[in-house]
Amino acid sequence: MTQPDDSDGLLPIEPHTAGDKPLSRDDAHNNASEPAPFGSADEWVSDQLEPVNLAILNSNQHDHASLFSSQEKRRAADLLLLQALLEIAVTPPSQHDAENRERISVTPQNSQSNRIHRAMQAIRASDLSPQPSRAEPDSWTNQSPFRPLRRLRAAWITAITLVIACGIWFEVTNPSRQLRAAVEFIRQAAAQVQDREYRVTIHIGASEPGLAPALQKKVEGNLFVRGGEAFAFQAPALIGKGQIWFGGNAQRVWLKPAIGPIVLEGQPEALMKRWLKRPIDAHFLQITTVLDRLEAHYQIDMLPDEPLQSGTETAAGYYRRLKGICRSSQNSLPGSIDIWAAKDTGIVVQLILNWDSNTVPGHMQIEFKYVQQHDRRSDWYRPEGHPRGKPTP
Amino acid sequence: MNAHDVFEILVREHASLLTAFIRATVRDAALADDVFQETLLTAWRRLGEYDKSRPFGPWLRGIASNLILAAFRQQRKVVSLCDAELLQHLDHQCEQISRVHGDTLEEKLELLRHCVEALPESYREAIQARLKVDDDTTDSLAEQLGLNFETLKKRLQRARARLLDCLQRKMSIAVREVLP
Repeated sequence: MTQPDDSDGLLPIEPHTAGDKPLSRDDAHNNASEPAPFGSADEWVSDQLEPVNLAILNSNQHDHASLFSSQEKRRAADLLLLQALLEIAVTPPSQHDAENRERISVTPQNSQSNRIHRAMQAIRASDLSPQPSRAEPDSWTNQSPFRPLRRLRAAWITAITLVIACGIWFEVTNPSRQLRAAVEFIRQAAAQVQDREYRVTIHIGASEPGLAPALQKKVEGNLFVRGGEAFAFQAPALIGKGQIWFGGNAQRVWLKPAIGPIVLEGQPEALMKRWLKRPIDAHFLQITTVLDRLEAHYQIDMLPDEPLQSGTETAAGYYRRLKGICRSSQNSLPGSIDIWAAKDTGIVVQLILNWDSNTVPGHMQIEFKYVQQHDRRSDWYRPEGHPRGKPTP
Repeated sequence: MNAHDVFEILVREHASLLTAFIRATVRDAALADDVFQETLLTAWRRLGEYDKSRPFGPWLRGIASNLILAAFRQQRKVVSLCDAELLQHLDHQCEQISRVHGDTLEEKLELLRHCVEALPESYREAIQARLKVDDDTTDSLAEQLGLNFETLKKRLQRARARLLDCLQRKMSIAVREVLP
Protein backbone atom coordinates (compact mmCIF):
# COMPACT_ATOMS: atom_id res chain seq x y z
CA MET A 1 0.00 0.00 0.00
CA THR A 2 2.92 2.28 0.51
CA GLN A 3 5.49 3.35 -1.94
CA PRO A 4 9.12 4.13 -1.24
CA ASP A 5 8.84 7.88 -1.64
CA ASP A 6 5.64 8.29 0.31
CA SER A 7 5.78 6.24 3.44
CA ASP A 8 2.92 8.05 5.14
CA GLY A 9 0.31 7.69 2.44
CA LEU A 10 -2.08 4.81 2.51
CA LEU A 11 -1.53 4.23 -1.16
CA PRO A 12 0.58 5.69 -3.91
CA ILE A 13 -0.84 8.79 -5.46
CA GLU A 14 -1.19 8.92 -9.18
CA PRO A 15 -2.87 11.34 -11.54
CA HIS A 16 -6.53 10.66 -11.42
CA THR A 17 -9.57 12.37 -12.81
CA ALA A 18 -12.48 12.19 -10.47
CA GLY A 19 -15.98 13.24 -11.15
CA ASP A 20 -17.29 15.61 -13.68
CA LYS A 21 -14.09 17.57 -13.95
CA PRO A 22 -10.49 16.94 -13.02
CA LEU A 23 -9.42 18.15 -9.61
CA SER A 24 -6.54 20.56 -9.64
CA ARG A 25 -3.24 19.45 -8.26
CA ASP A 26 -0.87 21.72 -6.41
CA ASP A 27 2.49 20.30 -5.62
CA ALA A 28 3.89 23.53 -4.29
CA HIS A 29 4.00 22.21 -0.73
CA ASN A 30 5.17 18.73 -1.43
CA ASN A 31 8.24 18.86 0.72
CA ALA A 32 8.56 16.00 3.16
CA SER A 33 11.35 17.63 5.13
CA GLU A 34 9.29 20.58 6.27
CA PRO A 35 8.59 20.83 9.99
CA ALA A 36 5.14 20.58 11.50
CA PRO A 37 5.15 23.23 14.21
CA PHE A 38 1.56 22.67 15.25
CA GLY A 39 2.09 19.01 16.09
CA SER A 40 1.68 15.81 14.15
CA ALA A 41 -1.14 15.07 11.77
CA ASP A 42 -2.56 12.71 14.34
CA GLU A 43 -3.05 15.60 16.71
CA TRP A 44 -4.86 17.69 14.13
CA VAL A 45 -7.65 15.23 13.83
CA SER A 46 -7.84 14.21 17.46
CA ASP A 47 -10.86 15.09 19.51
CA GLN A 48 -11.55 18.74 20.23
CA LEU A 49 -9.94 19.85 17.03
CA GLU A 50 -8.74 23.35 16.97
CA PRO A 51 -10.29 25.16 13.98
CA VAL A 52 -7.05 27.00 13.33
CA ASN A 53 -5.34 23.72 12.58
CA LEU A 54 -8.08 22.73 10.22
CA ALA A 55 -7.76 26.07 8.51
CA ILE A 56 -4.08 25.46 8.06
CA LEU A 57 -4.73 22.00 6.80
CA ASN A 58 -7.16 23.30 4.25
CA SER A 59 -5.76 26.55 3.05
CA ASN A 60 -2.94 26.62 0.55
CA GLN A 61 -3.12 30.39 0.59
CA HIS A 62 -2.70 30.60 4.31
CA ASP A 63 0.58 31.92 5.55
CA HIS A 64 1.17 28.83 7.63
CA ALA A 65 0.18 26.34 5.00
CA SER A 66 3.64 25.96 3.63
CA LEU A 67 4.84 24.82 7.05
CA PHE A 68 3.06 21.53 6.58
CA SER A 69 4.23 18.90 4.20
CA SER A 70 1.99 17.11 1.75
CA GLN A 71 2.79 13.91 3.59
CA GLU A 72 1.53 15.36 6.86
CA LYS A 73 -1.59 16.62 5.16
CA ARG A 74 -2.25 13.29 3.52
CA ARG A 75 -1.81 11.48 6.79
CA ALA A 76 -4.34 13.84 8.37
CA ALA A 77 -6.73 13.08 5.51
CA ASP A 78 -6.16 9.35 6.00
CA LEU A 79 -6.98 9.67 9.67
CA LEU A 80 -10.17 11.55 8.87
CA LEU A 81 -11.15 8.80 6.45
CA LEU A 82 -10.25 6.19 9.03
CA GLN A 83 -12.58 7.88 11.49
CA ALA A 84 -15.40 7.84 8.94
CA LEU A 85 -14.78 4.17 8.15
CA LEU A 86 -14.76 3.32 11.84
CA GLU A 87 -18.15 4.95 12.16
CA ILE A 88 -19.42 2.64 9.45
CA ALA A 89 -17.59 -0.51 10.48
CA VAL A 90 -17.75 -0.34 14.23
CA THR A 91 -20.10 2.30 15.55
CA PRO A 92 -23.75 1.51 15.04
CA PRO A 93 -24.57 -0.95 17.76
CA SER A 94 -26.97 -3.06 15.81
CA GLN A 95 -27.20 -1.50 12.39
CA HIS A 96 -23.93 -3.05 11.34
CA ASP A 97 -24.05 -6.07 13.54
CA ALA A 98 -25.94 -8.73 11.66
CA GLU A 99 -26.03 -11.10 14.55
CA ASN A 100 -27.31 -8.50 16.94
CA ARG A 101 -29.75 -7.17 14.40
CA GLU A 102 -31.02 -10.63 13.81
CA ARG A 103 -31.43 -11.26 17.51
CA ILE A 104 -33.10 -8.01 18.41
CA SER A 105 -36.45 -7.27 16.95
CA VAL A 106 -35.87 -3.64 16.27
CA THR A 107 -33.98 -2.51 13.26
CA PRO A 108 -32.58 0.98 13.83
CA GLN A 109 -33.45 3.57 11.27
CA ASN A 110 -31.18 2.99 8.38
CA SER A 111 -30.21 6.58 7.83
CA GLN A 112 -28.23 5.95 4.68
CA SER A 113 -31.05 4.07 3.05
CA ASN A 114 -33.41 6.79 4.09
CA ARG A 115 -31.18 9.43 2.57
CA ILE A 116 -31.13 7.54 -0.71
CA HIS A 117 -34.85 7.02 -0.49
CA ARG A 118 -35.43 10.73 0.09
CA ALA A 119 -33.15 11.70 -2.77
CA MET A 120 -34.83 9.25 -5.13
CA GLN A 121 -38.23 10.54 -4.07
CA ALA A 122 -37.06 14.07 -4.82
CA ILE A 123 -35.73 12.97 -8.20
CA ARG A 124 -38.91 11.15 -9.09
CA ALA A 125 -41.16 13.90 -7.75
CA SER A 126 -39.35 16.71 -9.52
CA ASP A 127 -39.49 14.85 -12.79
CA LEU A 128 -35.89 15.83 -13.43
CA SER A 129 -34.41 14.31 -16.53
CA PRO A 130 -30.74 13.62 -17.06
CA GLN A 131 -29.27 16.15 -19.44
CA PRO A 132 -28.07 14.61 -22.65
CA SER A 133 -24.37 14.09 -23.07
CA ARG A 134 -22.49 17.05 -24.45
CA ALA A 135 -20.61 14.64 -26.65
CA GLU A 136 -23.71 13.80 -28.58
CA PRO A 137 -24.30 15.87 -31.68
CA ASP A 138 -27.47 17.93 -31.70
CA SER A 139 -28.57 16.75 -35.05
CA TRP A 140 -27.39 14.48 -37.83
CA THR A 141 -29.98 15.61 -40.26
CA ASN A 142 -28.42 18.83 -41.53
CA GLN A 143 -27.73 18.90 -45.20
CA SER A 144 -24.02 18.68 -45.80
CA PRO A 145 -21.61 17.43 -48.43
CA PHE A 146 -20.20 15.11 -45.75
CA ARG A 147 -23.57 13.65 -44.90
CA PRO A 148 -22.75 10.03 -45.90
CA LEU A 149 -19.56 10.19 -43.85
CA ARG A 150 -21.50 11.57 -40.91
CA ARG A 151 -24.03 8.80 -41.24
CA LEU A 152 -21.24 6.25 -41.16
CA ARG A 153 -19.77 7.90 -38.09
CA ALA A 154 -23.20 8.03 -36.49
CA ALA A 155 -23.64 4.34 -37.13
CA TRP A 156 -20.29 3.60 -35.50
CA ILE A 157 -21.08 5.80 -32.51
CA THR A 158 -24.47 4.19 -32.16
CA ALA A 159 -22.94 0.72 -32.31
CA ILE A 160 -20.29 1.59 -29.73
CA THR A 161 -22.86 3.25 -27.48
CA LEU A 162 -25.05 0.18 -27.73
CA VAL A 163 -22.16 -2.10 -26.78
CA ILE A 164 -21.32 0.08 -23.78
CA ALA A 165 -24.97 0.40 -22.82
CA CYS A 166 -25.39 -3.36 -23.03
CA GLY A 167 -22.35 -3.80 -20.81
CA ILE A 168 -23.75 -1.40 -18.25
CA TRP A 169 -27.15 -2.97 -18.60
CA PHE A 170 -25.89 -6.47 -17.98
CA GLU A 171 -23.90 -5.18 -15.04
CA VAL A 172 -26.81 -3.38 -13.37
CA THR A 173 -29.29 -6.10 -14.19
CA ASN A 174 -27.08 -8.66 -12.51
CA PRO A 175 -29.64 -10.74 -10.58
CA SER A 176 -27.79 -10.79 -7.28
CA ARG A 177 -27.31 -7.05 -7.37
CA GLN A 178 -30.96 -6.49 -8.19
CA LEU A 179 -31.94 -8.81 -5.40
CA ARG A 180 -29.79 -7.02 -2.84
CA ALA A 181 -31.15 -3.68 -3.95
CA ALA A 182 -34.74 -4.94 -3.78
CA VAL A 183 -34.32 -6.39 -0.28
CA GLU A 184 -32.61 -3.24 0.93
CA PHE A 185 -35.32 -1.06 -0.58
CA ILE A 186 -38.05 -3.07 1.12
CA ARG A 187 -36.18 -3.12 4.42
CA GLN A 188 -35.63 0.58 4.54
CA ALA A 189 -39.32 1.15 3.74
CA ALA A 190 -40.27 -1.17 6.60
CA ALA A 191 -37.89 0.65 8.94
CA GLN A 192 -39.46 4.06 8.34
CA VAL A 193 -40.92 5.41 11.56
CA GLN A 194 -44.50 5.26 10.33
CA ASP A 195 -47.49 3.61 11.96
CA ARG A 196 -48.79 0.92 9.66
CA GLU A 197 -51.58 -1.55 10.20
CA TYR A 198 -51.78 -5.10 8.91
CA ARG A 199 -54.53 -7.69 9.09
CA VAL A 200 -52.93 -10.87 10.36
CA THR A 201 -54.29 -14.37 10.05
CA ILE A 202 -52.63 -17.23 11.89
CA HIS A 203 -53.45 -20.75 10.74
CA ILE A 204 -52.38 -23.63 12.92
CA GLY A 205 -52.58 -27.17 11.61
CA ALA A 206 -54.95 -26.18 8.83
CA SER A 207 -53.10 -27.93 6.05
CA GLU A 208 -52.02 -30.97 8.00
CA PRO A 209 -53.90 -33.96 6.63
CA GLY A 210 -55.41 -36.10 9.30
CA LEU A 211 -55.04 -33.53 12.04
CA ALA A 212 -57.99 -33.51 14.37
CA PRO A 213 -60.18 -30.42 13.92
CA ALA A 214 -59.77 -29.67 17.60
CA LEU A 215 -56.09 -29.12 16.95
CA GLN A 216 -56.71 -26.75 14.09
CA LYS A 217 -56.96 -23.08 14.82
CA LYS A 218 -57.42 -19.88 12.90
CA VAL A 219 -56.73 -16.66 14.70
CA GLU A 220 -57.25 -13.26 13.17
CA GLY A 221 -56.05 -9.98 14.54
CA ASN A 222 -54.70 -6.56 13.75
CA LEU A 223 -51.03 -5.79 13.82
CA PHE A 224 -49.66 -2.29 14.28
CA VAL A 225 -46.01 -1.57 13.57
CA ARG A 226 -44.03 1.60 14.01
CA GLY A 227 -41.11 1.04 11.68
CA GLY A 228 -38.56 -1.11 13.43
CA GLU A 229 -39.22 0.48 16.81
CA ALA A 230 -42.23 -1.34 18.18
CA PHE A 231 -45.23 -3.44 17.38
CA ALA A 232 -48.60 -4.20 18.97
CA PHE A 233 -50.99 -6.99 18.09
CA GLN A 234 -54.68 -7.17 18.91
CA ALA A 235 -56.64 -10.42 18.72
CA PRO A 236 -59.70 -11.99 20.29
CA ALA A 237 -58.95 -14.09 23.36
CA LEU A 238 -58.71 -17.79 22.53
CA ILE A 239 -60.77 -18.70 25.56
CA GLY A 240 -63.75 -16.66 26.68
CA LYS A 241 -64.57 -13.16 25.58
CA GLY A 242 -62.49 -10.06 25.30
CA GLN A 243 -59.37 -9.01 23.53
CA ILE A 244 -55.77 -9.70 24.10
CA TRP A 245 -53.04 -7.28 23.21
CA PHE A 246 -49.41 -8.01 22.98
CA GLY A 247 -46.47 -6.14 21.63
CA GLY A 248 -42.87 -5.36 22.14
CA ASN A 249 -39.76 -3.44 21.40
CA ALA A 250 -36.07 -4.26 21.35
CA GLN A 251 -35.87 -4.99 25.05
CA ARG A 252 -38.93 -7.01 25.87
CA VAL A 253 -42.35 -8.17 24.84
CA TRP A 254 -45.55 -7.81 26.79
CA LEU A 255 -48.88 -9.58 26.85
CA LYS A 256 -52.11 -8.10 28.16
CA PRO A 257 -54.64 -10.95 28.41
CA ALA A 258 -58.38 -10.41 28.52
CA ILE A 259 -58.29 -11.33 32.20
CA GLY A 260 -55.40 -11.27 34.59
CA PRO A 261 -52.20 -9.37 35.04
CA ILE A 262 -50.00 -7.99 32.31
CA VAL A 263 -47.10 -10.26 31.50
CA LEU A 264 -43.71 -8.80 30.66
CA GLU A 265 -41.22 -11.15 29.10
CA GLY A 266 -37.60 -10.85 28.15
CA GLN A 267 -37.90 -14.06 26.14
CA PRO A 268 -40.09 -13.50 23.09
CA GLU A 269 -40.61 -17.23 22.56
CA ALA A 270 -42.20 -17.54 26.00
CA LEU A 271 -44.97 -15.16 25.08
CA MET A 272 -46.13 -17.06 21.99
CA LYS A 273 -45.80 -20.30 23.85
CA ARG A 274 -48.10 -18.93 26.49
CA TRP A 275 -50.62 -17.72 23.92
CA LEU A 276 -50.52 -20.19 21.03
CA LYS A 277 -48.68 -23.05 22.70
CA ARG A 278 -46.06 -22.74 19.99
CA PRO A 279 -42.40 -21.78 20.64
CA ILE A 280 -42.43 -19.05 18.01
CA ASP A 281 -40.52 -15.82 18.50
CA ALA A 282 -43.11 -13.07 18.94
CA HIS A 283 -40.79 -10.76 17.05
CA PHE A 284 -41.89 -12.46 13.86
CA LEU A 285 -44.74 -10.01 14.11
CA GLN A 286 -42.20 -7.24 13.55
CA ILE A 287 -41.77 -6.94 9.81
CA THR A 288 -38.28 -5.50 10.04
CA THR A 289 -37.23 -8.56 12.03
CA VAL A 290 -38.66 -10.85 9.39
CA LEU A 291 -36.64 -9.02 6.75
CA ASP A 292 -33.46 -9.16 8.85
CA ARG A 293 -33.83 -12.88 9.30
CA LEU A 294 -34.67 -13.32 5.65
CA GLU A 295 -31.32 -11.81 4.76
CA ALA A 296 -29.43 -13.71 7.40
CA HIS A 297 -30.82 -17.23 7.09
CA TYR A 298 -32.63 -17.65 3.78
CA GLN A 299 -31.93 -18.40 0.18
CA ILE A 300 -33.78 -15.52 -1.46
CA ASP A 301 -35.17 -15.53 -4.98
CA MET A 302 -36.78 -12.65 -6.80
CA LEU A 303 -39.80 -13.96 -8.67
CA PRO A 304 -41.59 -12.13 -11.48
CA ASP A 305 -43.77 -9.28 -10.29
CA GLU A 306 -47.28 -10.45 -9.61
CA PRO A 307 -50.64 -9.10 -8.50
CA LEU A 308 -52.39 -10.01 -5.28
CA GLN A 309 -55.38 -12.26 -5.59
CA SER A 310 -57.62 -10.37 -3.22
CA GLY A 311 -56.39 -6.87 -3.23
CA THR A 312 -57.69 -3.87 -1.38
CA GLU A 313 -57.43 -0.49 -3.01
CA THR A 314 -53.84 -0.15 -1.85
CA ALA A 315 -52.97 -3.64 -2.95
CA ALA A 316 -54.00 -3.41 -6.59
CA GLY A 317 -51.53 -3.84 -9.42
CA TYR A 318 -48.30 -5.76 -9.69
CA TYR A 319 -45.91 -6.17 -6.79
CA ARG A 320 -42.27 -6.96 -6.24
CA ARG A 321 -42.15 -10.61 -5.27
CA LEU A 322 -39.51 -12.25 -3.09
CA LYS A 323 -39.37 -15.78 -1.77
CA GLY A 324 -37.00 -17.04 0.89
CA ILE A 325 -36.30 -20.68 1.66
CA CYS A 326 -34.69 -21.31 5.04
CA ARG A 327 -31.14 -22.63 4.87
CA SER A 328 -30.56 -22.54 8.61
CA SER A 329 -30.97 -25.40 11.03
CA GLN A 330 -32.57 -23.17 13.64
CA ASN A 331 -35.82 -24.85 14.53
CA SER A 332 -37.81 -21.77 15.32
CA LEU A 333 -37.45 -20.20 11.86
CA PRO A 334 -40.21 -20.45 9.26
CA GLY A 335 -39.39 -22.81 6.41
CA SER A 336 -40.37 -20.21 3.86
CA ILE A 337 -41.07 -16.50 3.70
CA ASP A 338 -43.08 -14.97 0.86
CA ILE A 339 -43.16 -11.23 0.31
CA TRP A 340 -45.16 -8.96 -1.93
CA ALA A 341 -44.00 -5.33 -1.81
CA ALA A 342 -45.08 -2.16 -3.57
CA LYS A 343 -42.66 -1.40 -6.37
CA ASP A 344 -42.67 2.35 -5.90
CA THR A 345 -42.57 2.63 -2.10
CA GLY A 346 -41.14 -0.73 -1.01
CA ILE A 347 -43.94 -1.16 1.55
CA VAL A 348 -44.70 -4.81 2.25
CA VAL A 349 -48.33 -5.35 1.28
CA GLN A 350 -48.46 -9.07 1.89
CA LEU A 351 -46.23 -11.41 3.83
CA ILE A 352 -46.66 -15.11 4.44
CA LEU A 353 -44.57 -17.11 6.91
CA ASN A 354 -44.79 -20.88 6.85
CA TRP A 355 -43.57 -23.27 9.51
CA ASP A 356 -43.73 -26.93 8.65
CA SER A 357 -44.71 -29.59 11.13
CA ASN A 358 -41.08 -30.47 11.80
CA THR A 359 -40.62 -27.04 13.35
CA VAL A 360 -43.77 -26.56 15.36
CA PRO A 361 -46.49 -29.05 16.26
CA GLY A 362 -48.73 -28.97 13.22
CA HIS A 363 -48.21 -26.76 10.21
CA MET A 364 -48.42 -23.08 11.01
CA GLN A 365 -48.83 -20.08 8.75
CA ILE A 366 -48.93 -16.38 9.52
CA GLU A 367 -50.29 -14.13 6.81
CA PHE A 368 -50.00 -10.34 6.91
CA LYS A 369 -52.04 -8.07 4.69
CA TYR A 370 -51.42 -4.36 4.59
CA VAL A 371 -54.41 -2.28 5.63
CA GLN A 372 -53.37 1.32 6.04
CA GLN A 373 -50.87 3.85 7.30
CA HIS A 374 -52.29 5.87 10.16
CA ASP A 375 -50.64 7.78 13.02
CA ARG A 376 -51.10 6.22 16.45
CA ARG A 377 -50.73 7.60 19.95
CA SER A 378 -47.35 7.24 21.59
CA ASP A 379 -48.73 4.76 24.16
CA TRP A 380 -50.29 2.58 21.48
CA TYR A 381 -47.34 0.22 21.64
CA ARG A 382 -47.47 -0.14 25.42
CA PRO A 383 -49.96 -2.16 27.51
CA GLU A 384 -51.33 0.93 29.27
CA GLY A 385 -52.49 2.25 25.91
CA HIS A 386 -55.22 -0.38 25.74
CA PRO A 387 -57.44 -0.33 28.84
CA ARG A 388 -59.66 -3.36 29.25
CA GLY A 389 -63.37 -2.99 28.59
CA LYS A 390 -62.92 0.13 26.55
CA PRO A 391 -62.80 0.30 22.79
CA THR A 392 -59.41 1.49 21.67
CA PRO A 393 -59.84 4.49 19.40
CA MET B 1 -36.69 -1.55 -14.93
CA ASN B 2 -36.58 2.13 -15.78
CA ALA B 3 -33.72 4.64 -15.58
CA HIS B 4 -34.64 5.62 -12.02
CA ASP B 5 -34.37 2.01 -10.88
CA VAL B 6 -31.02 1.50 -12.58
CA PHE B 7 -29.69 4.73 -11.12
CA GLU B 8 -30.88 3.77 -7.65
CA ILE B 9 -29.19 0.40 -7.84
CA LEU B 10 -25.90 2.02 -8.80
CA VAL B 11 -26.25 4.61 -6.06
CA ARG B 12 -27.04 2.03 -3.41
CA GLU B 13 -23.97 0.08 -4.36
CA HIS B 14 -21.67 3.06 -3.90
CA ALA B 15 -23.50 4.91 -1.14
CA SER B 16 -21.52 3.58 1.82
CA LEU B 17 -18.17 4.62 0.44
CA LEU B 18 -19.60 7.93 -0.67
CA THR B 19 -20.88 8.45 2.87
CA ALA B 20 -17.43 7.69 4.30
CA PHE B 21 -15.83 10.07 1.82
CA ILE B 22 -18.20 12.88 2.75
CA ARG B 23 -18.03 12.22 6.48
CA ALA B 24 -14.24 12.32 6.31
CA THR B 25 -14.41 15.81 4.91
CA VAL B 26 -17.50 17.37 6.45
CA ARG B 27 -17.67 17.53 10.22
CA ASP B 28 -21.25 18.67 10.51
CA ALA B 29 -23.67 15.76 10.15
CA ALA B 30 -26.48 17.88 8.74
CA LEU B 31 -24.23 19.42 6.12
CA ALA B 32 -22.83 15.98 5.27
CA ASP B 33 -26.38 14.83 4.75
CA ASP B 34 -27.06 17.80 2.49
CA VAL B 35 -23.92 17.13 0.46
CA PHE B 36 -24.92 13.50 0.07
CA GLN B 37 -28.39 14.41 -1.16
CA GLU B 38 -27.12 17.11 -3.46
CA THR B 39 -24.54 14.71 -4.89
CA LEU B 40 -27.27 12.29 -5.91
CA LEU B 41 -29.45 15.01 -7.40
CA THR B 42 -26.52 16.44 -9.35
CA ALA B 43 -25.48 12.98 -10.49
CA TRP B 44 -28.96 12.33 -11.80
CA ARG B 45 -29.12 15.66 -13.60
CA ARG B 46 -25.72 15.12 -15.17
CA LEU B 47 -26.06 11.45 -15.91
CA GLY B 48 -25.66 12.21 -19.59
CA GLU B 49 -22.11 13.35 -18.91
CA TYR B 50 -21.13 10.15 -17.13
CA ASP B 51 -18.50 8.21 -19.02
CA LYS B 52 -19.93 4.71 -18.88
CA SER B 53 -16.57 3.13 -19.51
CA ARG B 54 -15.36 4.36 -16.11
CA PRO B 55 -16.44 3.28 -12.66
CA PHE B 56 -19.43 4.99 -11.14
CA GLY B 57 -18.05 5.46 -7.60
CA PRO B 58 -15.23 7.91 -8.45
CA TRP B 59 -17.63 9.90 -10.61
CA LEU B 60 -20.01 10.28 -7.67
CA ARG B 61 -17.16 11.26 -5.36
CA GLY B 62 -15.95 13.78 -7.90
CA ILE B 63 -19.32 15.47 -7.81
CA ALA B 64 -19.24 15.34 -4.01
CA SER B 65 -15.74 16.89 -4.03
CA ASN B 66 -16.95 19.87 -6.01
CA LEU B 67 -19.90 20.30 -3.65
CA ILE B 68 -17.61 20.06 -0.62
CA LEU B 69 -15.32 22.73 -2.02
CA ALA B 70 -18.36 24.90 -2.66
CA ALA B 71 -19.66 24.24 0.85
CA PHE B 72 -16.29 25.19 2.31
CA ARG B 73 -16.46 28.56 0.64
CA GLN B 74 -19.73 29.19 2.49
CA GLN B 75 -19.27 27.40 5.82
CA ARG B 76 -15.62 27.04 6.64
CA LYS B 77 -16.05 25.84 10.19
CA VAL B 78 -18.00 22.71 9.38
CA VAL B 79 -15.85 21.36 6.59
CA SER B 80 -12.79 19.49 7.80
CA LEU B 81 -10.94 19.14 4.61
CA CYS B 82 -11.29 21.18 1.50
CA ASP B 83 -7.97 21.03 -0.26
CA ALA B 84 -8.51 19.76 -3.81
CA GLU B 85 -5.35 17.68 -3.72
CA LEU B 86 -6.36 16.06 -0.45
CA LEU B 87 -9.84 15.35 -1.77
CA GLN B 88 -8.23 13.68 -4.74
CA HIS B 89 -6.04 11.69 -2.37
CA LEU B 90 -9.09 10.60 -0.38
CA ASP B 91 -10.91 9.63 -3.55
CA HIS B 92 -7.96 7.48 -4.48
CA GLN B 93 -7.98 5.81 -1.07
CA CYS B 94 -11.68 5.10 -1.45
CA GLU B 95 -11.03 3.55 -4.82
CA GLN B 96 -8.44 1.25 -3.27
CA ILE B 97 -10.91 0.21 -0.60
CA SER B 98 -13.47 -0.55 -3.27
CA ARG B 99 -10.99 -3.00 -4.82
CA VAL B 100 -10.81 -5.09 -1.67
CA HIS B 101 -12.65 -8.36 -1.93
CA GLY B 102 -16.28 -8.21 -0.84
CA ASP B 103 -19.67 -7.31 -2.27
CA THR B 104 -20.43 -4.51 0.14
CA LEU B 105 -18.39 -1.97 2.05
CA GLU B 106 -19.48 -3.80 5.18
CA GLU B 107 -17.67 -6.89 3.97
CA LYS B 108 -14.63 -4.95 2.80
CA LEU B 109 -14.36 -3.29 6.20
CA GLU B 110 -13.90 -6.65 7.85
CA LEU B 111 -10.21 -5.79 7.61
CA LEU B 112 -10.74 -2.74 9.80
CA ARG B 113 -12.77 -4.69 12.32
CA HIS B 114 -9.91 -7.17 12.62
CA CYS B 115 -7.57 -4.26 13.25
CA VAL B 116 -9.84 -2.97 16.02
CA GLU B 117 -9.99 -6.42 17.58
CA ALA B 118 -6.22 -6.61 17.50
CA LEU B 119 -5.79 -3.38 19.48
CA PRO B 120 -4.69 -3.55 23.11
CA GLU B 121 -7.76 -3.58 25.28
CA SER B 122 -7.33 -0.07 26.66
CA TYR B 123 -7.00 1.36 23.15
CA ARG B 124 -9.93 -0.62 21.84
CA GLU B 125 -12.07 0.50 24.75
CA ALA B 126 -11.19 4.14 24.07
CA ILE B 127 -11.94 3.88 20.36
CA GLN B 128 -15.22 2.11 20.87
CA ALA B 129 -16.32 4.48 23.61
CA ARG B 130 -15.41 7.49 21.48
CA LEU B 131 -17.46 6.18 18.59
CA LYS B 132 -20.54 6.04 20.76
CA VAL B 133 -20.29 9.72 21.62
CA ASP B 134 -21.82 12.05 19.07
CA ASP B 135 -20.39 15.40 20.04
CA ASP B 136 -16.86 16.59 19.60
CA THR B 137 -15.97 16.87 23.25
CA THR B 138 -14.34 14.06 25.15
CA ASP B 139 -14.62 15.56 28.63
CA SER B 140 -17.53 13.41 29.71
CA LEU B 141 -16.04 10.42 27.95
CA ALA B 142 -12.80 10.75 29.92
CA GLU B 143 -14.83 10.87 33.09
CA GLN B 144 -16.79 7.83 32.03
CA LEU B 145 -13.63 5.86 31.38
CA GLY B 146 -11.99 7.08 34.58
CA LEU B 147 -9.18 8.82 32.73
CA ASN B 148 -8.04 12.37 32.60
CA PHE B 149 -8.63 14.20 29.35
CA GLU B 150 -5.04 14.28 28.17
CA THR B 151 -4.57 10.55 28.79
CA LEU B 152 -7.68 9.76 26.79
CA LYS B 153 -6.65 12.07 23.98
CA LYS B 154 -3.23 10.45 23.78
CA ARG B 155 -4.73 7.00 23.92
CA LEU B 156 -7.08 7.80 21.06
CA GLN B 157 -4.25 9.24 18.99
CA ARG B 158 -2.12 6.16 19.48
CA ALA B 159 -5.01 3.82 18.83
CA ARG B 160 -5.83 5.60 15.57
CA ALA B 161 -2.22 5.56 14.49
CA ARG B 162 -2.09 1.81 15.09
CA LEU B 163 -5.36 1.29 13.29
CA LEU B 164 -4.18 3.27 10.31
CA ASP B 165 -0.95 1.30 10.10
CA CYS B 166 -2.82 -1.96 10.47
CA LEU B 167 -5.35 -1.01 7.80
CA GLN B 168 -2.59 0.06 5.44
CA ARG B 169 -0.86 -3.29 5.81
CA LYS B 170 -3.99 -5.35 5.42
CA MET B 171 -5.27 -3.34 2.50
CA SER B 172 -1.97 -3.57 0.75
CA ILE B 173 -2.15 -7.34 0.92
CA ALA B 174 -5.84 -7.49 0.06
CA VAL B 175 -5.54 -5.25 -2.99
CA ARG B 176 -2.52 -7.19 -4.25
CA GLU B 177 -4.52 -10.41 -3.93
CA VAL B 178 -7.40 -9.00 -5.94
CA LEU B 179 -5.38 -7.40 -8.70
CA PRO B 180 -4.39 -9.71 -11.53
